[in-house]
Amino acid sequence: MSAVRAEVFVQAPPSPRTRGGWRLSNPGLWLVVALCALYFLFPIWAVAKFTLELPGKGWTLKAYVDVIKEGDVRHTFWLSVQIAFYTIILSLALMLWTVLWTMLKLPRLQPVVEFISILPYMVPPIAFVVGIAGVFRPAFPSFIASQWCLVFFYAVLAMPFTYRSLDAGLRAIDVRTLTEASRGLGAGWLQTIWRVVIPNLRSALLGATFLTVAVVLGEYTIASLLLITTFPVEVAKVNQQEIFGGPALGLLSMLVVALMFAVLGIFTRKRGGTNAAAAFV
Amino acid sequence: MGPEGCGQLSQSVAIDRPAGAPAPAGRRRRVSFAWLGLLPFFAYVGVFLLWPTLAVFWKGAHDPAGNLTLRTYGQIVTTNQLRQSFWKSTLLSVDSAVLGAVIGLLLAYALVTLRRPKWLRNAVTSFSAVAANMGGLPLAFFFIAAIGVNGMLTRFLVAHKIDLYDRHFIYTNPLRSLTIIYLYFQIPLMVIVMLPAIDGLKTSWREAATNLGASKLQYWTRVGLPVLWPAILGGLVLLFANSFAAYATAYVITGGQTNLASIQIGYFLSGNTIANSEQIGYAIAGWMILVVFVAIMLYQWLRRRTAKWQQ
Amino acid sequence: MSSLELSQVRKTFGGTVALERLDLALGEGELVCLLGPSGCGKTTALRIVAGFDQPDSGAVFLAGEDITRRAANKRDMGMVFQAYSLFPNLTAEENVAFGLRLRRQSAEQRRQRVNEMLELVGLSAQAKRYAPQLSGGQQQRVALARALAIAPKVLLLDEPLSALDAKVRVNLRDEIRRIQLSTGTTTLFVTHDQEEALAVSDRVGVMSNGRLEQIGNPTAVYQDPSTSFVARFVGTVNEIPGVVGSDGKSVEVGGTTIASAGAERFAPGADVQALVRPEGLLVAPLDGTSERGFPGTVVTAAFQGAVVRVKVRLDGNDALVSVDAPVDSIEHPNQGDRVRVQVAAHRAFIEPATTAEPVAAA
Repeated sequence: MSAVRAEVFVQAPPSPRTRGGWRLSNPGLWLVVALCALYFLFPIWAVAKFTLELPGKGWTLKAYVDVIKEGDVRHTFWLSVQIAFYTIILSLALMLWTVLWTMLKLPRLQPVVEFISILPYMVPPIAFVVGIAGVFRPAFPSFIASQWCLVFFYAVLAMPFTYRSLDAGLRAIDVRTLTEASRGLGAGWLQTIWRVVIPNLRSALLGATFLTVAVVLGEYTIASLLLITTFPVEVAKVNQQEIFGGPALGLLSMLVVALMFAVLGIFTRKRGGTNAAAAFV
Repeated sequence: MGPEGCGQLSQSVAIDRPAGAPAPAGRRRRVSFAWLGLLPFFAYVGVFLLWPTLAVFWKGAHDPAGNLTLRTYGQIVTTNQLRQSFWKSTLLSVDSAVLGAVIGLLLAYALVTLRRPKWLRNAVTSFSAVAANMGGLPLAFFFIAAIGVNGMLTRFLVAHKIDLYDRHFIYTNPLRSLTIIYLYFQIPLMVIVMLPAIDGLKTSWREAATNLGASKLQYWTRVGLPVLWPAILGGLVLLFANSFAAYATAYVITGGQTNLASIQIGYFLSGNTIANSEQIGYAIAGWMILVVFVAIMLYQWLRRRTAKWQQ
Repeated sequence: MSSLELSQVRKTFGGTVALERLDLALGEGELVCLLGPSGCGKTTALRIVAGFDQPDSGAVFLAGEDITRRAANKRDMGMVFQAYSLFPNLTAEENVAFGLRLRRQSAEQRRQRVNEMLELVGLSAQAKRYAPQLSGGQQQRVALARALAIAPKVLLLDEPLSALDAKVRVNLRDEIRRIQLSTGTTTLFVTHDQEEALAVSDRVGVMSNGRLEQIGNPTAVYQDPSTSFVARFVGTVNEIPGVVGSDGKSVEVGGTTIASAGAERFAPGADVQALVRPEGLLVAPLDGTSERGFPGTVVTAAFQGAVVRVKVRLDGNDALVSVDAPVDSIEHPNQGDRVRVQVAAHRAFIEPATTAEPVAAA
């Protein structure tokens, strides 16, 4: 997938616009929307029809059932889930610490840290993996051969939006004041972070988590070129070998991602939407 | 608890730190203590991002004999196939960026302007989030199912006597088909970029302009577009970088058979390459990083300009 | 400069009535203020005049011409918005020149007019600055210059001072009035700040729930409110219980008689409530010399320059009454002093008695 990720949390509803009329070329705009809808929904429908209506068998979930039954598919899916899990922990721990520390102790360094956090966007995964192989293979061959090395590199990929999400979340709650109040009342740092900061960061944390999951479940480039068979790599393999398995899994993973965003959207909307981090872009 | 750098820090409760960060040793000078807190971050980025990236440039700056030289980078430009690959990547990226930007801009504008149905904007935004983040594989499969050789649309059109795979038509040109496919994440990305920018166009500007006598066109040419252009340009650049760096979708769709910069890098890494030296592989990767780096820096600069105007 | 008239203008949004058949006429060169709380319809009325909203029924006339259906960009009016209306991509002088460019004036004409306008608002030195580089007050001045540059027939001001700091607000409102008087532009000014309205207007129209409750010059609106809403919204009032006198016109409150407006509609001897302003009350020491008024205890006494605002808690109930006593009239009261509150007003707005206890607004 493309190197640049964009994270969007469901935005708070747009500010109230002027009442009454700009009767702008509404029909023209509706046409644009309709054409776009057609473009975006048609392939989804095509995949759905392709994988659900099997020749000679009518409408059936057989393609899905079959492909999920494959041991390799389940095994690699579970692997990817685990990798995602560890990546989330690593990247959230690292970034939360870093963002907090910068915000509270070194605010002057904030632009520097922010710049570093978006460096991963400037390194396309395909070029990144060349560098990774080039330095880690000679130096730490067993590390790079292990599937868990991906956790570390995926945490790098997750860095930009994790940083931005946490940064926005912490700003929204004015963490400096909160921590001062908490410490002033006698709480230690650990307590403050656990009881005051994190609970108020729920939607930022959730957003960063879901995006990381989306990225990990979809990341093909690095994994395949490091010869580690994660779920996406396996899906590509399945696609080589059979007709319906690949597209079926593709649609499934899209549904999973969509579901996650839906949950996130509901969650952030409930909290008024103001906690929703702005899009990276 | 005082402001940053206060010496009392050293007496604070021990905090769980990620492995690798030294614990504070008693009272230190303010500044150095505070910097230590960022050590985990710097170390992590250094090892897992900077080291591999700088190594790419470093290794590409040598020739097979081991001498430090920029000739390898130059060789990319002189070798036909490699130069072609960058050229094709550029073409593809420009096409998908311009198309994506125009359509994305229109769509974003439509979303902000059309206030009914109320769910439209949220729905499209959520969908954009998903579409822009979808891995390259599902996208490839979608389009294979839609307009692949046995795709739904292909078969439908054949039934109506239109053959998508006729040599006059789009599909024989892999770049064109990739452009169409890339739009699937380019358009959402542009929408995501433009929505806040268009939202930032205050209604009072529009009303003030109207009140002073401006028509719709005059407002857009004198106020609207001038205010929006950094965001639009930024979006274009971002989309370009996005497309240039893309690998997975192109690989799956074309079976790795098409000549793009990212595909070339993939060849090199998996060993089947025309390059007779590993330095060339690094140099290609180095060039690609440079292009994307410049583009993203440009984007960031433009984004700051946008923010300046939208209080 | 011309007369502006709204005739039976009615507007609903969804199910809510924003304007209930409004009739309003502005004479040439007049500054009329529409005053009221949010939601009262004043902004709606302004926007209908500007052409940004269409009325459901009724008409808008400019110098006798019906402009109800005319496009907003063809009404030759100037408008100043609450905030952030300067075009960010243009300098102050380019902003001011905007309307002139649209009217295809020559560069020389534009330059002259722009300089004139910027000087009028006192910002010639800031001509080449952009909006974010100007303070709130400066931005509004540029906005005013921009609106006036086109020599509009009507100037519309939509709460132009609400987003500004208090000090700036006071200075700028006087500026606006001075400029309006010097250009003689018919002006419709919308605000929720009654002090502002009373300070700058030729006439004030107090609105509530889509209706114009009263319109008249500031003195009339302040001293002779014609409805309870106007009495309470403009300035502060104390609710003092009283009884209608036997002549059916006057009202007796705590031993004092007020010849007032409005008592005619009550029967002699009826229990009523008089709305008396703080400056219509007196504070006298509680000693045996007088039986008039209501006894009570001083809660606070705040020195405010020309007056001392004394809050007294009356005996017998816990009502708090505000009295503005001229500084020289009494020794500064202390908390806990026992006093008598007496009515000294010659007028008051009379309404039916709701409770027996006097109640004060802050």
